Amino acid sequence: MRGLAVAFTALALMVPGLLPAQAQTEGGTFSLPINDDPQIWPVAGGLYNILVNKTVYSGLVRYDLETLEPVGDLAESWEVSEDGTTYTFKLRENVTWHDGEPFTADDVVYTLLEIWTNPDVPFYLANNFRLIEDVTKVDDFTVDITLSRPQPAFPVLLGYNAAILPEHLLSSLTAEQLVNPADFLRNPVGTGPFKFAEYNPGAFVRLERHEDYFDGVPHLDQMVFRIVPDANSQLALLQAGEVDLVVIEPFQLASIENNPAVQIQSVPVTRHEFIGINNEVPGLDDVAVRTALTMALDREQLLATVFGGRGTVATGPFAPSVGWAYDDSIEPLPYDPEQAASLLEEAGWTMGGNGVREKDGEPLSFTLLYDPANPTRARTALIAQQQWAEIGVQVEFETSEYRAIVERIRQSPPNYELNPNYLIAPPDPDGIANFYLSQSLANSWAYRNPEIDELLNAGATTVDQAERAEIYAQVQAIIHEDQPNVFTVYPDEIQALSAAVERFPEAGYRDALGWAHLISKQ
Amino acid sequence: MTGYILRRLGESIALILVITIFTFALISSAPGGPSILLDPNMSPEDTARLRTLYGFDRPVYEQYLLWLWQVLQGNLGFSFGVGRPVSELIASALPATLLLSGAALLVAAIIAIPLGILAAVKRNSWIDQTLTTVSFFGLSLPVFWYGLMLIILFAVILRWLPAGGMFTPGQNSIGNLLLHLILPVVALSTSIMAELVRYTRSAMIGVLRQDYVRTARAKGVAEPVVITRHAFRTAMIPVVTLLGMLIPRLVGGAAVTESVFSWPGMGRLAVSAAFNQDYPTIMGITLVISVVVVVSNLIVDLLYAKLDPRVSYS
Repeated sequence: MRGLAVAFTALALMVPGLLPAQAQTEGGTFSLPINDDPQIWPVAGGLYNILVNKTVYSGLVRYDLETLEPVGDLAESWEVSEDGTTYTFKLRENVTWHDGEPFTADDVVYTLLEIWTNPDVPFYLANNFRLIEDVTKVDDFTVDITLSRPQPAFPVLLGYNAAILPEHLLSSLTAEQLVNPADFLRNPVGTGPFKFAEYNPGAFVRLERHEDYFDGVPHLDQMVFRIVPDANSQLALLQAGEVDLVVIEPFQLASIENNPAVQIQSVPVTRHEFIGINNEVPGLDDVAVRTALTMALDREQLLATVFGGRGTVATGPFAPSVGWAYDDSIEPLPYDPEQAASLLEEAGWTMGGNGVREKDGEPLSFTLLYDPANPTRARTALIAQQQWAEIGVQVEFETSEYRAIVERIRQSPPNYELNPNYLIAPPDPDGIANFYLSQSLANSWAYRNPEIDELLNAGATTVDQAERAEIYAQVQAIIHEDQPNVFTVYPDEIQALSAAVERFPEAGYRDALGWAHLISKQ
Repeated sequence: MTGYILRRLGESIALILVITIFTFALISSAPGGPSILLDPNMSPEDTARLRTLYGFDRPVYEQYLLWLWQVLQGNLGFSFGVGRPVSELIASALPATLLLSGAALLVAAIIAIPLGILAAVKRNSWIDQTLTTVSFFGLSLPVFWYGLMLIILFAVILRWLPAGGMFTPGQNSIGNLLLHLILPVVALSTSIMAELVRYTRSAMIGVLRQDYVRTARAKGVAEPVVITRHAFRTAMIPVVTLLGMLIPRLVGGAAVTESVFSWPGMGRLAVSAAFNQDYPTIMGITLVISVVVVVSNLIVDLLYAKLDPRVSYS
């Protein structure tokens, strides 16, 4: 038993996230590179903005680092009415803005009504809050939010990059000024663990610790976001000890894995990789063909090679990290090219002379669209092409820049046949509903199943979590049956940390930065 | 002379206008659209709403005229990506680029021009051949690789120099700046140097063959004087042309060098604006660079008259 404890301690010393909090070192600067100039304005989307904004601002809610369940951030607690439409948020009373003003219910009312749900303000996540009907201040530290119908995922959405902004500094601005609040952005003010100190465009953003942070004084003195556009340069900076965290793609692992200046932390995130299928394309509209594509692709091998073994094989769009809503009794389809071939045979796709199957004179041949600049997707494309050729499915490549791909798959009807891609969604199954509802504009696979629509709509409004879990288990089973996409891998996020990092909370860095006061360096 | 300058200025304004129209049309026809509309978390409904709010749903000519109207009022607009005035972004990037490229140009000229003369004077000797080989090597080094190798050697392995950036955040001293300047200047000046050596060499060889040089030698003028007094000035004409052509390139920023060394200059800004299809920023940069190109060409033309008495404008 004692041996075990020693082993655990040893393990804890090796894994940064497991270090006991009291042993943490105070002070120091934590730097991380971002690709581009951030906008310290949480109304705009984009990864580099989100990362900086997570440390400067707070939301009402953030995610528990272990369970990913919503827990209070600026909210101390909340209650929901019996009918599921009114949320009463009790706010923390010890919060101050970086300029010293106290945080109150007025800030929450202002942000929700004048920013998030204001159609003239370009808030990129407004759709998440389309059900908000009214927000009222009950007292200085209590707010009622009324929804037009029950939305059990509401607290989760509140924690998803939705920051509360200072009413006392912004309420005088018009909606037009809120598009580019230049003066506010010269000295942005939030309630997060770090406050704005300096912005050098093209170079870095420097933040200093907020001594009055409501959840305890941050361990670090400073956080610096350095603007480093080149991925190789980011890794070089890490190895030179100039930055402390680079989130890397699996193919980059090999070059730094054995470097003593670097420690690797991989964490599960709510992300899945898949080969998207346009379900309207003749041939791909056949469930036998889609199933055969999944079965003929060795996803274990894909995981081991392309993803460096970091992750698990996927069964559908729901992430296993949201434990309550994930049915782990559903097994991934086996890798079985023979069975895949006989599925195609049964569906009438017979082998033609040139090794390509055909039916009614039409060859089983598709175009796969991918972004060659992303080695993970490019290698997935190559492996799929080779393995699918073995069962008589021909794949031709078309390459394009990523944003052009996004534009094409979002057209209605979608303008592609096959496309390796990924999705990151809020940690609630309702977060992916928009991608699978028949009439949704985000349904880039043109997959339409009335049964799924009914279940997803029920899941979105059912208040009881156990009932919801049952509903989503059914969704998972049907999607598994229909194989609207070839689901490949739930990849871990691979965080390359400098050896000097003592603790970086073990979660995807978007979520971990919401707990930036816990980060520490030796 | 004044008439000549005025005519050239008129032509330049027309040219700049054409450049902006062309650039605007190019950006607008690129697929994908501004990256602020492409956050994967954004619902198609929000994308459509933002498209209208930012005016991307208007006809392209209308967007262009709106931009032009703003510019005529002295406003380059707001960057979509950074949410800051484009003029502020350029004002912060331009000095960084001028510093880097000015230093690189200076280093290159100081080293390359004497070497080019040496190669010309010692034509076909081992010195000339070595210089030729080395400069071809310098010309063919791709900066994204060469720059990274410099970083790996001097920042990662030896840890003598910083791996990127212009300052260590929080330390704005000259010494800190100079440390950060060394590697990008080395990377950037290498290719300029190689080009300059080749150029100076061939210009000098051409001049050394000319009659007046032969006359000078025949008069018994000492060889160092022939080279420095008689040949050098004439040989500098094509070199100045090259330098003139290099200046706009340097103001535009060395996109690759700046990206590899995370140097906060115009090149990096342009690359990021292009990736984000941030058209106010792209247009602002285009405008500034075209003005610099036109003005520097004009200055080079006027410098000819100074260097070569045979050239005059009227």
